[in-house]
Amino acid sequence: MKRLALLLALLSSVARAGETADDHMLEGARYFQAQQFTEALVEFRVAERTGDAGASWYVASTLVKLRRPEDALDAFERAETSAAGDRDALFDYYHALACYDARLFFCADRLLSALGEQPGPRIAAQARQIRADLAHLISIPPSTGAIDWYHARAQATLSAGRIALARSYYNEASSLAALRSDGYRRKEALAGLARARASVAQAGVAP
Amino acid sequence: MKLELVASLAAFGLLAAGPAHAAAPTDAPPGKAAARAALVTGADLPATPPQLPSQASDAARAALGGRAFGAQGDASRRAREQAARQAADDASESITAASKRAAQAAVAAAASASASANADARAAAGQARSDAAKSKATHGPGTRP
Repeated sequence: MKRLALLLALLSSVARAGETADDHMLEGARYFQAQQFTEALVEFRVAERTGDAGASWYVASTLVKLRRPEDALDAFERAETSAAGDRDALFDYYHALACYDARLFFCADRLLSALGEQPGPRIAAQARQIRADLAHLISIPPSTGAIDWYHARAQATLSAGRIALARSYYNEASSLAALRSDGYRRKEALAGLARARASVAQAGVAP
Repeated sequence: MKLELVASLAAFGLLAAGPAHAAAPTDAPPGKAAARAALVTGADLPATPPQLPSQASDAARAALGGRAFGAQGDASRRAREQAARQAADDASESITAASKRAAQAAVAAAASASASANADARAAAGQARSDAAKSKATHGPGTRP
């Protein structure tokens, strides 16, 4: 009986001394609500490190609010690996915003098209509005300069070892090239995609 | 206090999202439910209209950079962003380390309390045995206390 009391005291003192992951989630929520996104990011990261893998989705979404789309895309990639079961329409909306801000418009459109009414009427209406804004852009032939920009980003991110990002930029370059009758640098984009996939396979990460 | 905060965040999130939003799972812990409500509220439209980038315009900007304020502005913006990132990373590291240290200290304190309680229990048992032996010696077997 005494041992049980001691064990309970031990557990409660540990709980008081070291805040739990959920305490940090709550703090993060408070900062996020107050639009203090840097502080929210710190709290969500601590929650993630304290053992809540699902917090990685909140880290990624907060990076979107901080206007760090490429870091957000990397974080979404990590979240899909570490806490795939927590993925849902709300996070996909934030993921689409990260794609949009990184000028990965096909990526944004693909994610938004799959949302439906799941994230609620307000966010669903916003998703429809974004898709309407994108519709023209992703259906007319782009300039060669635009495609060159995606190749440059893909090469830079691949060199930096950010393979998922490189894949996204090559995907975008390939989709844009497909809109042009000359298929400008499309083969190069597909070769880049294959290179990025090979890097993923070599690193032993899920494609 | 915590419950009030969770309730108000969740209520705000529900109002902002409308009646049919994808709610957090009912078994979600309070912190996560509040974080989800905050994300629902903060899900805005993009700040700028979509526009394809251009390698040519980037190159032109870079060429002009040496003569205009652009390069300095970009460098300064990059430095500020880098500093903010570093600060956020450092803060996360220190909070995690402080939490771990506090938890370790609590475990050590509780373990020490447990050891001391065991010693007390052993001493008390010894004392009881000794008292019983003394009592036996004084009253002898078969005598009433």
